[in-house]
Amino acid sequence: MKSSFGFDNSFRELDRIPRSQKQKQDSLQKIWSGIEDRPKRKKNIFPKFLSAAAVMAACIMFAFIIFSEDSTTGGSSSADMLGDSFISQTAIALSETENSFSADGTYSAETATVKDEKWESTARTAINSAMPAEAVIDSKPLYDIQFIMKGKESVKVKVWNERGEVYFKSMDSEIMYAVPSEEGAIFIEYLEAIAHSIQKTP
Amino acid sequence: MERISAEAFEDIYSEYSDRIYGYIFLLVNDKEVAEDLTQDTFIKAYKYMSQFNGESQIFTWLVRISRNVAIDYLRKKNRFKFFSIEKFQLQSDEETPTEIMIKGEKVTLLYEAIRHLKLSYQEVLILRKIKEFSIKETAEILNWNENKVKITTSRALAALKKELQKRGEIHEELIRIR
Repeated sequence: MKSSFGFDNSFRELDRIPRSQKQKQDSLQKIWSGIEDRPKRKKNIFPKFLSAAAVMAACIMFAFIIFSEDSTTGGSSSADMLGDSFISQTAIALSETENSFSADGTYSAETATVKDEKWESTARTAINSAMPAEAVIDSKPLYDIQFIMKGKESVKVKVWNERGEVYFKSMDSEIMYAVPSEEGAIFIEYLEAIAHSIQKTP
Repeated sequence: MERISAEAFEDIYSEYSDRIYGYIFLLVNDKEVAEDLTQDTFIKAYKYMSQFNGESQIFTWLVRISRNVAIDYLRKKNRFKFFSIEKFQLQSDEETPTEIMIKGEKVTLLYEAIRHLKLSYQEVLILRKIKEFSIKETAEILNWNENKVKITTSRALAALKKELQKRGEIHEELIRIR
């Protein structure tokens, strides 16, 4: 090929665009989040004939869990949602309606993506400390939050601030949870700050 | 074809994602967008891995996907669904990113000159001169024939030289073609 009038080294320099390891790893997490049917990492250690038996056993077990949940709604624990699972990041958006969900995890001006230990700790504390509530809520939901977790299905919740009391509900459940006042206040403060940054984004 | 394992996919990501990111970055001129489009590229690569027939190098195949992803983005960004790639040029108010500035004046000058060329010239220069793909590989990525790659590269280099001269920042010895 023809010489590039003395710019050969400069062309080569342009081949190396700096990219941090963190940036690279964060992207890999997001890629796996974007691939819904990701392959399982663990090998199937059961022989095939045992799989059917395992499926049946699982069905019976799940049926038992579902029926016992139905009969004892009051005993549902919000701590099961996040537990101790590693939160790789959180997507937060302003809620539009009670039935739609806005924080779908993709980059947009309307969604904030948060990766911050203090936020994760605050959110986990608020979620884990909440109790099922019978409250009738008049206001509209304020925030949609998606917790994207490593090795676990992401958790989607809607958050209300009803006269200073913080409530949330998982998108796949009808149970409303109330967050204790102190934890709820910090939780909502974080969300307000994040929402403020979303609204400022042109 | 069987679906690729998570380990194999992560190996491919680890090996090639930096170079894919760099390629997209040169096309879109924005760090965050380049990272997003790199993610899109690998999500698509994962989904269509069964269509990779091994005739080309996997990196060439990934660059082809990332090129389509980046062109889609540029089309949307410019709000013309079918803008002419031939005529597309950098907006004059776009700033040169820090990632390029830190490489020095000469690299910045070259980058800015390339960015002021029409997109087809930018693309062929990025692939042939920066990424050092062969004519055959470049033709495959751009979906052109090899003759078009040769002619466009030659015209792109001439246009680049003119752009550099126009900017009046180039030393005499640098524009001498050996």
